[in-house]
Amino acid sequence: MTRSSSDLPPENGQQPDDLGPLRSLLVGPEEAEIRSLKERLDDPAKFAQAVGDVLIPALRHSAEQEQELDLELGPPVEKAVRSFIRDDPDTVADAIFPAIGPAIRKSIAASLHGLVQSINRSLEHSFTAKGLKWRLEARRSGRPFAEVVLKHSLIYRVEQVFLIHRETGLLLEHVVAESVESPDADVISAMLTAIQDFVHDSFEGPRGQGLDSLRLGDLTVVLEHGPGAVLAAVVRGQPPVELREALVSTVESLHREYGYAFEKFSGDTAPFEPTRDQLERCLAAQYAEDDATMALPKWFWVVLVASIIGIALWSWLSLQSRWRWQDYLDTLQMQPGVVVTDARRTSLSGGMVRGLRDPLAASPGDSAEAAGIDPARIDARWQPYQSLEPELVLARARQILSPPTGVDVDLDGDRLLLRGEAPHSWMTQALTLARAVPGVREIDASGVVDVTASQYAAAVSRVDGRRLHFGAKSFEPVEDLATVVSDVAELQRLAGELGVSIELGLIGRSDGSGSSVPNLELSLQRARHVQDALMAGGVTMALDVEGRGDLDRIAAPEDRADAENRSVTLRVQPKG
Amino acid sequence: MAATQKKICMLGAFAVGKTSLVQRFVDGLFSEKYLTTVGVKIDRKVVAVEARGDVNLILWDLQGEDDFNNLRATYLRGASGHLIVADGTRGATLETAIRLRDLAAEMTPGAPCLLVVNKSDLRSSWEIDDKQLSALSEDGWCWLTTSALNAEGVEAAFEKIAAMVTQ
Repeated sequence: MTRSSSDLPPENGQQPDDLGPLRSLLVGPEEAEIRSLKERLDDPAKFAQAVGDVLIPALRHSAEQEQELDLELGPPVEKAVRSFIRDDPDTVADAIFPAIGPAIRKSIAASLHGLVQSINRSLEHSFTAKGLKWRLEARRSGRPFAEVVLKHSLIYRVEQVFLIHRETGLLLEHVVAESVESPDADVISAMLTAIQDFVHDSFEGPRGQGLDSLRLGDLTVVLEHGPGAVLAAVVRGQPPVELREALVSTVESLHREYGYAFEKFSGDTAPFEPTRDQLERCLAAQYAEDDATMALPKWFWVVLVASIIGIALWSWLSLQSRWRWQDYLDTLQMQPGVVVTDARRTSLSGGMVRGLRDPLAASPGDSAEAAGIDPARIDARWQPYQSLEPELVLARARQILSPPTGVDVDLDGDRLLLRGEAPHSWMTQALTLARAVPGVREIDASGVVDVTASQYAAAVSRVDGRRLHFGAKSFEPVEDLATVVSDVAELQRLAGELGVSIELGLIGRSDGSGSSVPNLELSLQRARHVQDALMAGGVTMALDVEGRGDLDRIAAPEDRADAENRSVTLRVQPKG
Repeated sequence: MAATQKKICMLGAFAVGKTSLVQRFVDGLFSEKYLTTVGVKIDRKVVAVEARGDVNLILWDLQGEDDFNNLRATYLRGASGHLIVADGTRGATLETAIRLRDLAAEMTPGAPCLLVVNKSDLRSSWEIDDKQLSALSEDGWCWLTTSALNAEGVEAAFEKIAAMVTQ
């Protein structure tokens, strides 16, 4: 305590040592407080903490009391800010960039609001009236309509938007409009940056500023620079003012969100993928025609839509009708024996056809029905003719020859092929008639079996050598002659058909009992009896009647020899 | 877009073969006239780096430096690394390379530089000797030799710079 007290400063320059103990007795506690205060004042850190503790309440108190603190603080703070801005304007510009843009735009927007409104009104008015007049104007002036529209309004389309890192020129994100391709966006991004650097360096542009736009024909690259990143929009057509505003607002918003990421970017673009949404919002497009017609009255749209639906419906029906008609004509043309010389669709459901038609061709009504057209709605007039198409030649041959069942008629080129089994009479007739069929040059009947010839052969074998038996001494046959009569009649018919001249020999015989002369007579009578029966049965062919008695015996076993010789034998023989 | 992107500048004296070095090995979009007009041509080279995946190198091929053409230093801004090309057959190009490295170090502090001594196919007529190269190594240079003619070392150079800038 004594040692500490000696550290205290002397009062009034005097230091009477003998008063020390007394003083410590009298002001000892206060001395400790003074020392503590002195320490806080001497130590800058402690003093700063003490002032800091009261500074904020003091400022608050001062503001509440409307004291002159702010007036006092104003000049030094202003001076400090001025000096800071003078030394490092970029940092300040970067810092206030996100805030200053919206502020300026807000102010300008407010003052321009009235003006824009009046411009919009006048534009809308002119669109309403002129939208339809443009076509007239285009027609009058002889210029393309698109040119007139362009003259009157703006058309633009943002095709690509690049988000480019300002420092490195590397591409952070890239979006393209539908049907636009840009595989080299990263290289283009760098080149765009290089070109900006080039222009900036070449013409000594102000620090911190870049190119606003590049233009080639109707293609414009609109650039909007932020401190960390540049937005480049590739626009086809005339970029509107709103696009610039949209880009500015996007750049600001991106800097608010990604300002730090731009600063720390080291090549990894993944953190910037979420910016796609914002960039895609810049891919706007506006077509003047929309504006031109937008202002038209509602009834116009109703009529327009109704007309479009009507036209579409009519077109569809017409198209279907056209397809059906074409189907009908195609089918008709493909029909053998039909030649269409003139055809016209006269309504949605019908038409007229003129042409030549072979009467044997398929009915044209069938083609119409197959194509879904009512034949009654078609005014068809056909001139008859004879077609030489193979189908028709064949049909005609069949019609003329009328082949019996079992006969096939076919055509191979101009050769008519006949196959199957046919009566001789038909064959004879067919061979003659076939030559008269138009389109047939040759007839091949080698495949036809003559049924009449085989029937004739069978009939001959039934009759030739047939033996009719008689009782002893009798010229009445023991069997019924009806079968023989009908067999001979059939033979006679078949021979007639084949044109073969035959005669039938009737050879009468008798057994060996009795004398030869009566036997000869008996045998002749027997033959005549058969002759009578045949003639009575309608047989008209030559019958050669002969009685041989017992002179020409038929060899037979003993027990049947007499019975076999009491007979008449039939012999079929060529006439003459 | 997913691959890491890096801006790499290709620097070097006039006619050291920078453009020949890239044109056979990279995806080019722009013609060489950009070099003489704008002073830079951009190419792209995708290099696979171990444990890092594909790195998309955006190569800024800068116009060769000579008495008449001065490099536009602005183009160096933001580069992650530099390929500095020298011509082994012309000793003076190494001096240019050293000067360009200093410029690069000033413009892009911390960005690595890889010295590529080109024309290794003409080794017999080299003016740059091994002693000079080992002196460069001692000085902290990273270097390798290439031949744009027979492709020797070219891929390795791109892989090397890609590895250096992604470290």
